[in-house]
Amino acid sequence: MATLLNIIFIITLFYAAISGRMFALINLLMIQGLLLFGVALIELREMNLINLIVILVETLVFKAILVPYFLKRTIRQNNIKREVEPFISGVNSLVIVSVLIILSFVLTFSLQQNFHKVIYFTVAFSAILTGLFLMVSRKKIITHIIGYVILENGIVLLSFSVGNEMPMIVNAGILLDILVSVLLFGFFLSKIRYISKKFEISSLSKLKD
Amino acid sequence: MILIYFITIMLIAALLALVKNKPFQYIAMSVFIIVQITLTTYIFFQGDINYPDYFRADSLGLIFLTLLTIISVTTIIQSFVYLEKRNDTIAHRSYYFASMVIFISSMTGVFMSNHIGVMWIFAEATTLSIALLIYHERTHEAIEATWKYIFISTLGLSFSFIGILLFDISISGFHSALFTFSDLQNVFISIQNKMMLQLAFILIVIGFSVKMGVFPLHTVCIDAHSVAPSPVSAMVSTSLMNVGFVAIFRFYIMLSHSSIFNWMNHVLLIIGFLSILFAAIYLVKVKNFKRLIAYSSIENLGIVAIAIAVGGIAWFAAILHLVIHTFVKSGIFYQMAQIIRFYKTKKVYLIGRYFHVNPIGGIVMIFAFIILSGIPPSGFFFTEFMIFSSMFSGGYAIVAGLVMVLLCFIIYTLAKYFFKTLFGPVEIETINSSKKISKWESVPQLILLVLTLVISIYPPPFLLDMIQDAIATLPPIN
Repeated sequence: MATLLNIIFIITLFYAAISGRMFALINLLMIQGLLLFGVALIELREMNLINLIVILVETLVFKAILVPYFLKRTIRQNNIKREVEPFISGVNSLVIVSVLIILSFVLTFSLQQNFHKVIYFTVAFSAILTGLFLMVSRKKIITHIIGYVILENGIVLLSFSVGNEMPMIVNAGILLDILVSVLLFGFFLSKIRYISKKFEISSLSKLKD
Repeated sequence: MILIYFITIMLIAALLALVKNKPFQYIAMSVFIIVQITLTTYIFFQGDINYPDYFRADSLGLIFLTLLTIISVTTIIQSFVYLEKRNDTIAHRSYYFASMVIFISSMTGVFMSNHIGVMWIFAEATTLSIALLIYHERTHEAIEATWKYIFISTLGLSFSFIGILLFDISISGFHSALFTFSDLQNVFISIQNKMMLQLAFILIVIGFSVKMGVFPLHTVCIDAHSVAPSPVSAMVSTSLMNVGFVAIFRFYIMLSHSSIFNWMNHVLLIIGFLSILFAAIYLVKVKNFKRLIAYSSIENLGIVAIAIAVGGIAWFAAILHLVIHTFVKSGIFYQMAQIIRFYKTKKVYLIGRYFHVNPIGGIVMIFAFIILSGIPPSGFFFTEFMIFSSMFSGGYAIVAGLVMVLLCFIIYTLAKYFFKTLFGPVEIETINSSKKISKWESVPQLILLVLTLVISIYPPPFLLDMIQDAIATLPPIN
């Protein structure tokens, strides 16, 4: 069951590479949040109950509801154009993401961990690399935030696979930090309209020597 | 105790953000200073915190906590000076102080934490709380720098979190109860999976290099320096860099008995050398005075990274170097606030005759230059001497020679611009049109510089003992 969820997670990464519409990307984040919720439900059953409930609720509320909602609101408020506008076209992106997934397989096996959850490792690394790839290959700043959220989803998946040795307070703090950082990104993104209406990364090039 | 501290801080920060009233800000910040000093003295003399699972007061943390407390007092005084001369709305002022309170307390958290996850949370909290401080002047550059800083810094810290998770995975067979620095030190001796540890360490160094201001991600740190209000730059350049150093050094100590010890030294040597190289290259074309000083910080932290890599007496020198750097660099940035206000520009070629304008400020700048360039009795002379001599004896003679050449370039550039500021020509209009400067503004800088001199000439024995204690568990270098 967890393997199935992981495979669906990989498929969302492919979809993220070719998707041309901003809202489709954000809906994808919502699906990933739900998948993470499912994985947590299956993987962390043996944890003590309060800890488990906190993590489950936080994953569901933060990852599947609050972050996507907030990103959509930011797009609407700032009248950001709804196309993704990549530097690299959809098909090429698809090829690159496939290569990244193969790379993460290679990385996982070269770590030679006799670790029973190889698939988690691979999927998490693929998500991290895909998030980074979305950041460098898209013009708009909002896509960078989406890339960051995908990367964070990968990290959360990795942390679930560890079997979670961190105490509750630490987990709660980590998830809260991630949420606050996305909120701050949104806040400062709306400030960028004073520099440029296009919200592209190329407009942030004033500071240099 | 530390729990009460954090609750009090949250309360003060919330009140500062809500109550928009000038006299209240003075009262609240005084209360904050008292709380911070109380915590520091309590930990200093008690040496013990009630929550060993999450927090621990070891010598390394305590040295930097004391530095942070001293710097935060002067920074708050200088912040009031800075804000009085600007016509900010009262709301901007209250956000400034609320962020500053959270910022200082989260740095305190980093220095005191023992649990690795807790330290990561506090490190991330420093990023989030500094955003409004960098953004304070609300110019286009400020937006750009804030965006770059929070984005790259959060991304970097995500990398270091992956590193932390990899450590967690690599010890999953050897169940230790707690994921703390003090408990794990003995666990890593028996871990054989070298590649996992190497990957984890490199991710952690990349992540915390934003904070420490060394090679891979130092650029955003420089942008943040150059647009933040000068008192905040003083914090970024000293305490925040100490945060990065403490984080990396704790991981270094934790892994020092593992199989990747020599490899870690090579990584840090490369990082330190590249930092100095980049600082030297970029200093040639710098036109902005604050970026100039920021590159000087990068250079000093690069020296510290090399010192960790070389080991032996250099570990001792590295921490002493950071102590002196903290005092002198914050002094320079406070003085810089005054210079920028007087000349209404940060451009180096529009500033001059500062000694004529404000002799006391001029003395501060000359003093600071002497200390920065390592002319005796500057403490940098002793620390750099120790670092270089252990580099020569450790077989790093070529690197040492290259670093010396680069340092010559850096000191040449610093001298050029410092003396241009003090004695160089400037349009007489600029000087006549600006307001007179009060002499009392330079008092905190002078105190810090006197402290620097005292530490340089006669380092207090308890400081030396604490530094010895901080590096006591490191293995002898071969």
